[in-house]
Amino acid sequence: MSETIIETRHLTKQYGAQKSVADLNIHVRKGRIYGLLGRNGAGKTTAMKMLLGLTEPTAGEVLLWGEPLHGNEKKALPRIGSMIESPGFYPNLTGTENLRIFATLRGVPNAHAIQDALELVGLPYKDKKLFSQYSLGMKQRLAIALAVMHDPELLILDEPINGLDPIGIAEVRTFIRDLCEKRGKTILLSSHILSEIALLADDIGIIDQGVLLEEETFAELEQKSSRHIQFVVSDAAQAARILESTFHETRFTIQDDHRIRLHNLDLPVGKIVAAYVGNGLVVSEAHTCEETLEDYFKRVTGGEGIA
Amino acid sequence: MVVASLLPIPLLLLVIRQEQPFNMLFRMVFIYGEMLLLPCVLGVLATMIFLPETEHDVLKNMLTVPVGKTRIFISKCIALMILSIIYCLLELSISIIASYVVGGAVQQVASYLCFSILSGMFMFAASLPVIVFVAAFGRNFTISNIVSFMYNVICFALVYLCMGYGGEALLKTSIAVLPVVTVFRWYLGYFPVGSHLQVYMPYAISTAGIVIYMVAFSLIMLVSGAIMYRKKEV
Repeated sequence: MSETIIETRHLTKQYGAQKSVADLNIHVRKGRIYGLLGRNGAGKTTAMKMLLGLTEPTAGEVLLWGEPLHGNEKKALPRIGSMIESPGFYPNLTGTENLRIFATLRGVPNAHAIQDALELVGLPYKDKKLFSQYSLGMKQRLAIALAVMHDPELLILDEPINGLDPIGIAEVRTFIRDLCEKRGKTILLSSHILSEIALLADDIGIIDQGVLLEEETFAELEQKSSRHIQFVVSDAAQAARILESTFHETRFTIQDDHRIRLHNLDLPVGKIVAAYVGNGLVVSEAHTCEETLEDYFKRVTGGEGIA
Repeated sequence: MVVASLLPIPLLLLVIRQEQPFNMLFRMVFIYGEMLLLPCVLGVLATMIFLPETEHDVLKNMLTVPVGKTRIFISKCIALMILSIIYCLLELSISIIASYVVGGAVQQVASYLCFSILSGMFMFAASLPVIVFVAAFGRNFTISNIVSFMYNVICFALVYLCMGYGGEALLKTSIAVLPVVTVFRWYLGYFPVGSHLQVYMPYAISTAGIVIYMVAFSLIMLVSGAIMYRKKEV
């Protein structure tokens, strides 16, 4: 089990009577990409702000590298690169000048760090264009450059592909993947775009109305939402034994005492039901489920809003 | 700074026939340039220094470096104090130049230099309420500038009332301990005043006295300001 870089314990943020984040417990493991997926207004950005100390939690705590963030900001934050909400830079300065300010503040030792970061995101070095004249895509790229400029171990990126064209999206996706696989960075990114999370994330957390509904690996999530035959019987354990002994089938999941899910759709449903009944089981339901990942997410979150 | 540079010139026209034009010019520049205009100038500068980072979302990037909010607040206040001193020194410089142009002598330059530096610091301290307001609560350039202007007008109106008929009665009230009025009381004691102002001499405050007052006032304002600035959500 790899080391947990980010852990939150009952993290909560309340504004008046409304909880924008409620009892959040996420676990971001080292060297993996964690995708925080949720609708607009689900609480993703608020959660990320609390991870960076930009917003004080109402309750709970944030642990980074096993230590509480509160009181250890000077030690933890230099190891993190982040991009939260809209890109924030001085509008009357160029991209290079903006990065130079932050490089000075961070004490970045590498003299070529700014140039390298700008080249990485495809922006010109020492360009005369002011930040106020940048397109949305350029602003987003500059924000990513700022996040990676000091070579952090952990990246927290809030909707990194926002505002990018399709080519830019593909470039950023490749770039994020390379950061993780080739440079061993740990990345937490948020999005409301399911397809992007599906292409990038190793682990997924689904958040809705401030509550973490699910947290698992992407492979586990795919398995949950794959096509299968759902049986509701009087004894799921007995049904499992029948599948193994009579049909020599092991690709099934026991969900609870009465529900069992068979992932092999090639087996004849009628014969399975007959075998169950013949062994004294009561079969309440038997149906085939063909749920896409999108259907699954909509079901889990209870509605629309994920692209 | 443009105000600091230009203000002595029209005022020079009012004092050109005086025996000691520099002396009178400097007093008028102090009353109108520093007591009337400087708090407003500092308020506007505070708006220009504090608000852009909030408006353009730069503050969150600075906080994740990390640069503490207290450090940001105090460093910007120090910058404003330096600008305030530069403003006063610029007014002194232009006044000296203007006086030489009309043939007036300038004596005791060191005393005026010391006064300008101190008045820059004291007027900065007196402007701290509006600076703290802008830093802690300012979200909008227009509202912040309006608040700066109103604070400025109220402060100068109180000083003006203290200078005029019945001002002595006002100086016996708690108005006398307000920061800008305290600066005025210090000014009364620093330079020799005309006979029409002798009645205010009992209310003058020494340099040591105003330094103690301003240090205490500044500490209270800076600590409160830092606390409120830290609570500001990003």
